[in-house]
Amino acid sequence: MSLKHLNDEEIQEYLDGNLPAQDRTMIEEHLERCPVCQDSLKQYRYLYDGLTKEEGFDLSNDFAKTVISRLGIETQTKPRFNYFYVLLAFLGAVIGVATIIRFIDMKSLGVTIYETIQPRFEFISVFADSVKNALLILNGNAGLVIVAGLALAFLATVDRFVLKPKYRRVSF
Amino acid sequence: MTDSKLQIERILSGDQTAFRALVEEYQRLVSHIVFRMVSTKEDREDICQDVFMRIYQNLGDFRSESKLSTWIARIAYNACLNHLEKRKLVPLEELNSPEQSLENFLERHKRPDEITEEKEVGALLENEINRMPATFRTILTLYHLEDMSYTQISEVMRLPEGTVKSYLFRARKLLKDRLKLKYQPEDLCH
Repeated sequence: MSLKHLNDEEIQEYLDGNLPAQDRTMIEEHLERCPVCQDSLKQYRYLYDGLTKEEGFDLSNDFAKTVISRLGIETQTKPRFNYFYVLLAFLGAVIGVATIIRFIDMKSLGVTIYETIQPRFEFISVFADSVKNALLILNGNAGLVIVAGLALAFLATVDRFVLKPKYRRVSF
Repeated sequence: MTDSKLQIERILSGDQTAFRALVEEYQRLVSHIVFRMVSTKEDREDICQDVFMRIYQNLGDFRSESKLSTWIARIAYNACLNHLEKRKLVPLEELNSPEQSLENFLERHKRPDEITEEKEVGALLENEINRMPATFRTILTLYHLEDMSYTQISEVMRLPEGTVKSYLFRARKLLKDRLKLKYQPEDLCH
């Protein structure tokens, strides 16, 4: 390598830092003695400096905002936790309860509430009967329950990994 | 979970702040590619916006087999190619056969007296880069400005690694020779 001039590829490889240590040493030894290759190296160094200088164009200051606006992503800001409003709500609740206790006949109120809501919870007993009947029909056949569970898990996986990203896509 | 994965998860769950951070982190990379590929100034910002919209819409498809920057650069590169083809701003043969295009470039600009006077060597370099085929310009940008490896560039541009390396070396030799034609070594080495 020291008998002939370095070629362009060798100089570029040297500047890129891609050469094994042995080749690198040989090139450095040659460069120490060869003014022609030193010139060539300097020209490449200058070129490399120019290529690493910042080029491009300036995007507008509100570039990110414009992109988000075009996509129509809704702003998600975390609601601030305001202690003053919490205190106000607590005081309001205390005053409200105190007023109810002071001025209202609690016993008749309780009876009225019970009579009002009792018919609306009949569905609970109906639901419990349905579950009981379903279990009787299954007659301890756990396999059917497992298959149903696996089917639901499969559908959930498909939804999570395949369908969900598509729901999120926005056309433009 | 890596930072990139976490950031993507947050964006996919609708976190606008995370997406804004991604735009700010990668807008330099995208603008460099668009700058080198598209010469019409008025189109550049619109293309950059389109690139980030595509990134958002396809983020769910990103797999961690490549780096996020490589994936984003690829989207930017494809968007530029689509733009150039659609507007017919670059001859099709340049996009399909950049090597042939470089030969034509050398043929057209082979004589030193054809070089216009430039006050600064930097301006001459910029001018020479802009005259090169888009493929060569992009490789120079990705390697020298974005510090991408041959492997990453080959993923971005869908070119074999050997071709990337060959184009890069030829482009740099060409630029060095062009600068040498106009300026003596002592002018360049200050």
